[in-house]
Amino acid sequence: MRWRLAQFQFRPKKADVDENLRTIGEALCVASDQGAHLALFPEACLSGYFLMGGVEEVAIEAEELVSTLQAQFVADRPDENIEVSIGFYERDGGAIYNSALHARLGATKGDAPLGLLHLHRKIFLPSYGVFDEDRYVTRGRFVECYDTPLGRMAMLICEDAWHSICGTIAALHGAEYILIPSASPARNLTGDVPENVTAWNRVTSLLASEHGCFVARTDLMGFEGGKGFAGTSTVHGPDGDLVSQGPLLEEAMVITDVNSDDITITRRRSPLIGSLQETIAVLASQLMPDALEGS
Amino acid sequence: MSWRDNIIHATRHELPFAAEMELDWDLTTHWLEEFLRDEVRVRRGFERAVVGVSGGVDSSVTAYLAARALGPDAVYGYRMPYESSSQASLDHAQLVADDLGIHLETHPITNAVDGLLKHDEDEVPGHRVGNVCARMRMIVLFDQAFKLRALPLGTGNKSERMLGYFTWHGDDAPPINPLGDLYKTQVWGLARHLGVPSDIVEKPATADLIRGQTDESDLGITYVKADLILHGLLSGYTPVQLADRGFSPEEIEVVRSRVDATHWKRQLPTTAMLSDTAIGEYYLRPVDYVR
Repeated sequence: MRWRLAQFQFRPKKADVDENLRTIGEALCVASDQGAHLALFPEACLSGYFLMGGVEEVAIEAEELVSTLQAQFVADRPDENIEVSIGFYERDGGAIYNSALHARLGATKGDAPLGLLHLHRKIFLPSYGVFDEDRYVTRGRFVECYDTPLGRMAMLICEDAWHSICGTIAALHGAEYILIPSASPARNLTGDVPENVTAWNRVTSLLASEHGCFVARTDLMGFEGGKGFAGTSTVHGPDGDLVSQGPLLEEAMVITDVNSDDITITRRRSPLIGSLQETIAVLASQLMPDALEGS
Repeated sequence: MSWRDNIIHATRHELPFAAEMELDWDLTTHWLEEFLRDEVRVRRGFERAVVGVSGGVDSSVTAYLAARALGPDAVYGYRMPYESSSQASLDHAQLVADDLGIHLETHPITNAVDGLLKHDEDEVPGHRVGNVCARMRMIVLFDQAFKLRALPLGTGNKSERMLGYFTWHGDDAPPINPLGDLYKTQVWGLARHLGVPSDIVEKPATADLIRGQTDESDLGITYVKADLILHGLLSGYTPVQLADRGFSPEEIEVVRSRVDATHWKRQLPTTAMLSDTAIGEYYLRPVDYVR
């Protein structure tokens, strides 16, 4: 199955959710016009990433976000459909999460469901150096896969992807596509791109090649209080190959065509995920042996 | 070849200080230009910037970056000499303005500074004069910025900031600073890359607050060594580990003691906390947060 994804790396207006929703709505229309089936947006892109206590004031409920995006898209493109994966600060009851949701928007056609397909809450909340997420948001607990008309997917938010166990769980649950909204402030400008961009490319390439899946990372762009997000969004193919990369420090929409056959072919040639599925029960018992003994 | 004749040794690098300090100047320039455009225009909605151009390398680099980022016509340089300021400083500031095509005005601060200090009965020591000069220059710069609807750019580098070698609420006052995360030796590298005249880059760094003053004589250590020690300390190396890497205990102590004695200078004023809504303790919002 061939399909097209659009990654929108952009500079959200800090703490202005309404304005950013308008920008995102316009980007969804452009992505649809470009023939994209899925539009990917960065982490925390409804508000910007560094908010400190401001997360309380900008967080919205997942269903509210989906209904707003749906209303915007249907008003602008009444006959079209598009899927969206987007990072935002989520309010749920008394808790705030750094979340990403995947939804299908547009007109009702056939049996494909509309609305919220999946919600992922960031598990690994960086709280060191420039980061302080643990102070302001609640930790998510689960890596889960979900099905869309385009294939089986999982979302990992930024640091989640740096812990290989998250990608492993996603792969074991059958992920063919791993979507990573990120907000990675650049540091150490010792090469032709910031060091964290190089590191990200290494991480996502390995994630893709270990599990034979596509990995799409979509990063914020622009400066927040002196901290610059580089953009350079990527898609890595199931061989770990770099399929596309967005520009450095520029707003852009990157359109990438993917073919699910590539996953099948790679896994046939290099059946690492099959080996993992056969072995995981033995290995998993070694992860927390004390906990298992006590249970 | 037998493996017996092919024994290979390897050692993981030990803190490649110099290599880590070597930045990619094209990327750094691009990054700082984008930073200035983003902060001045996109985030804050200003078109112009003002810079105190002292004739030294830090303010020169700031002016070069601002001219590239905003266009020379949007950059307003100010020479603000005190009576003890050297002619070379004035000449070098002019050199920068001529090379870039930015605006340049001269606003002497001698009358203002002396007008304040004349009320002291005793002779005012040089470092107090220096502090008053630094703060007076900010009064000029912020006032001119208000007049032009411009933003003042800071010029302090990371070495000065870490060593506390600046006037609190003086030269650290501007709201935007492109150089504050670059060590002095890195500013020199960037200056060469940007084409800052060599007379400015190669001359001894000086705050030019007191005649004959140089930074390195004030600090008691060269920037080349101080920057490497700073980089080591900030990267988590202990003084013992730094000594093991070739720095003398005295050099390490000069840097460490200045860093540890000046944490307060890198912070906002200390406020007595009386509630659970204290600003900066409980009530926390980033600098660019606007609703």
